[in-house]
Amino acid sequence: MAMSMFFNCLGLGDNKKIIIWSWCNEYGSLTPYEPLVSNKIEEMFQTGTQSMNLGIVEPTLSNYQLDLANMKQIRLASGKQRTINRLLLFNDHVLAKGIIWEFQAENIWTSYDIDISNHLEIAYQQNASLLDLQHFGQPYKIDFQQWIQIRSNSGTQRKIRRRALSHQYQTENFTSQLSVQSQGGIQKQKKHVSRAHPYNTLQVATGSSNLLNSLTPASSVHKRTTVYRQVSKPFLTDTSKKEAVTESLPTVQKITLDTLGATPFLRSGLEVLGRYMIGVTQNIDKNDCAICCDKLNEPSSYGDNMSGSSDVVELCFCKHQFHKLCLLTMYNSVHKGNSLQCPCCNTIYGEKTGTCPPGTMEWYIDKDLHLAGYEDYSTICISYHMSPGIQGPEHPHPGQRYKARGFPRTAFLPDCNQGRKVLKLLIEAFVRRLTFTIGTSTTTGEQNTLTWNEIHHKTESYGNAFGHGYPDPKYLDNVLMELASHGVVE
Amino acid sequence: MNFTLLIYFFIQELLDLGRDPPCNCSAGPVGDDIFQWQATILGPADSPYQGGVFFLTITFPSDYPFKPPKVAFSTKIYHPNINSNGSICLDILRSQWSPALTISKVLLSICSLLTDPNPDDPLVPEIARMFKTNRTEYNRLAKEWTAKYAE
Repeated sequence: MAMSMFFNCLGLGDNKKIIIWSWCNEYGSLTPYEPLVSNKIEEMFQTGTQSMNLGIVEPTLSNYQLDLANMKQIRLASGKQRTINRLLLFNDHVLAKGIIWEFQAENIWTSYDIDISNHLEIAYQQNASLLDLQHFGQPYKIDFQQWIQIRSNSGTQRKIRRRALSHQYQTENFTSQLSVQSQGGIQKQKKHVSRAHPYNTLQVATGSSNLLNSLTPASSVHKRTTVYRQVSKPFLTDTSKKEAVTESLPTVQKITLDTLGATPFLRSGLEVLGRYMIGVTQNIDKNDCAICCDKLNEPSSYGDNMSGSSDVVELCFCKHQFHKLCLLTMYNSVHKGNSLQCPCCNTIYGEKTGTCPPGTMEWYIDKDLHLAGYEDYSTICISYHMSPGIQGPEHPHPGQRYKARGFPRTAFLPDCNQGRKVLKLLIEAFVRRLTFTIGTSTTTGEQNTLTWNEIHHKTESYGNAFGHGYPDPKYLDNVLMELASHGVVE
Repeated sequence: MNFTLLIYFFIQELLDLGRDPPCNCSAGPVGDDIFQWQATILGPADSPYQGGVFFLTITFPSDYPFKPPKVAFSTKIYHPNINSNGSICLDILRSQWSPALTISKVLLSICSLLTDPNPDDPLVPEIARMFKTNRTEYNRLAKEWTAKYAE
């Protein structure tokens, strides 16, 4: 009794989390197993079992074998493997309340993703009539009055339902939390005791990966991963201390690059280079030309001994020297765009532009969406709309088609001062056609397709299933550096 | 593009590799196609890839060195920025390529990517998550893959 009062003081009583086992589909959605199945998996996991058949709990699932050592679900008939996850969810999550949201596909009721479920419940509790799941990266709208899910692009409708679970998910073992707390630094907890927030205690050590590890019960299973998810609750990091947002928002909310903008007036190479290079006749570097690797005081290999092949120039700001012909060949070989980048130090001369084909960029503020690490802020949602087309002369294979996969692509920024600054620069980057490029996708290996152009976007607003979400305290600084490397600065 | 000039460039690259060989790396043409090279990287000592010999393929574009070479692992490796096709997520192989870069410098960058993965820009999310949340397990798996595929 005294013990529980003590823990209640620390807010621990409210912090009990439920353990949910789930499997991940090819789109990164986490589907929970039913409580009885999940609890059995947890039991096997705790006893160090390496492999189990789901048929022992639910005969209809006997086609599925779990490999708990490698966290995989294997479909015995086909050998298809899915990743499984062990999640710890706060007790205010919809699943902890014994409620599950499902949609009907081919007469089978299928559970929604764990995070989506929670959004549905929150919207439902607020008597919302419609919820657009686009903010959460899903192309659906939920109509709570007709109990249907509508696919935004095709209009396909599916029935949805909210169902009470017949059993409860297992709660995390209390003693394992106790050990976390005692390792986690009691002094820090005390600091937070006076604060009324019931969720502070567990977050005292947040932001460190130690917490993630220490949350896994310290038994023989310490080698395995547990994904720790925080749902709708503050993730206390320094960035979440709300600052006054003084940075203004851009005035335009939609920018369309048309085909006319896609072919800027191109100047001749010599004309562009002429602005930034100075002829050098004395004090020629003894080093090699970084482009042709020949000595600067000898003719350029590109010259073929024609006149002028020995001309040496230096770039006006960084003072790096090259053969004039080498620089000219470089300018004519890459996308021209009236600008030049020093091969040695990447100093940009002129305004660097890219080869992004026509498309549209839009953004809006979502006041109800809060990114992990920025819970006190609204969220800037950016969407890019690009379509397939034919490659122009500036692209790798002129005349051939290019593909546009996964559009509209959505990205998220916190609506704080730095986030607004990044938004302005992302708009500038889009106008300069630097956001996407046509090439080979690193992820899929597909050629002639639109790919991101090394200006990273956070495409997950919730969770971090693909590693492109929040929290990532370094993201805003990193993307500012990437923008700067393309010459996009304030 | 002048073919003789390209051969000249490849010779320069080979000389560069010979003159200033990056530690634990080597590269050279394979077969008759001078645009196709093979490289090897020995797993860096301070990484779980230590003891492994990793093979890579290098394909030069006809407008080399103004366009980057295509570099991919042909040996399987457990790394957040290298996927099962062997594709490498490295900016200098894409938009940050510069004609002043050489194969020797590229291999050196790949070596440092092996030592210091970048989990915040993952190509394989599962491995990135493992790297961030359970370093011991990540090291164990990386070593296991190295022993299985690269030794």
